[in-house]
Amino acid sequence: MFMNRKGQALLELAILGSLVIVAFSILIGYSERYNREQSYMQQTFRATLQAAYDANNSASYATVDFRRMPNVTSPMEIGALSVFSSSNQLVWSDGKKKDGEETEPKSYFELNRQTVTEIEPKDPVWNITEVTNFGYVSNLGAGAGFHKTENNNITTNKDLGATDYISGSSDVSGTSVSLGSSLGAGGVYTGGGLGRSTSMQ
Amino acid sequence: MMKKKGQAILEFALSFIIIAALIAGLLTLWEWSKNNIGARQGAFEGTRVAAGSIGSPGQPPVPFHAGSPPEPYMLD
Repeated sequence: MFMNRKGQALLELAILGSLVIVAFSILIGYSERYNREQSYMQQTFRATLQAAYDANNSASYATVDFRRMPNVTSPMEIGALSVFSSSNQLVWSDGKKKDGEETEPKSYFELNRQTVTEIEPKDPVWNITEVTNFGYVSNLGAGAGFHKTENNNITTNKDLGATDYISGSSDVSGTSVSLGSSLGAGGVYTGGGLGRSTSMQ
Repeated sequence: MMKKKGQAILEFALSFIIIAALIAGLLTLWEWSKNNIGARQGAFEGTRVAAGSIGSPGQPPVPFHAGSPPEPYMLD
């Protein structure tokens, strides 16, 4: 009778504990997603503003950013891949020629805030940029280590090393754009690999 | 019987404190997250005129590749 009750309490605690971890995981996931999305949208708008001024005409900007999201339930495992895309189009012109020449609308596609490709505008009047046939392959490699040393005291070390290369292609308003980026620190695809470690005594 | 009742109250008190702390943590995290969105938008709108002024291109006061504004409400 007593053993049964003890077992029930343990089971309830185990279920509740895992539910709380799941709640934290969902919350951190949403928080990260919304905050990054907003930041990327703002950066894209500024990039469009700069491109439009440089062109003294209209400019459109489309971006795609890959990012590995945090893994809350298993911090020593690599998180899920997330794709953020944003675009803007605006006109910034004083209506005059620039350096004695007529100005033209400009279109750009940027990948991972690194590779900027100029796109031939599909529609010179409205300067619309279309991203179609967007496909990619992620080649992920990850290694995790767990080292426990028992001497006068116990020391545990955990580490994670991960590499990922995303390759693919996209069709942006008739221009073929190839993708290629390596995973870096913080989950962003800037190259250099991702590594983290913890030590506990 | 009384002993068992006392144990139940003790267990409830302990688990209540733990659960209350976890729920408070969840709410704090959510508040921090939603405040960040508003603060970032405010910082972005606040620098909009500078970013869009005629003197800005070439050397814009707000670099167009600048990262997001710093997190203003860090958890202490």
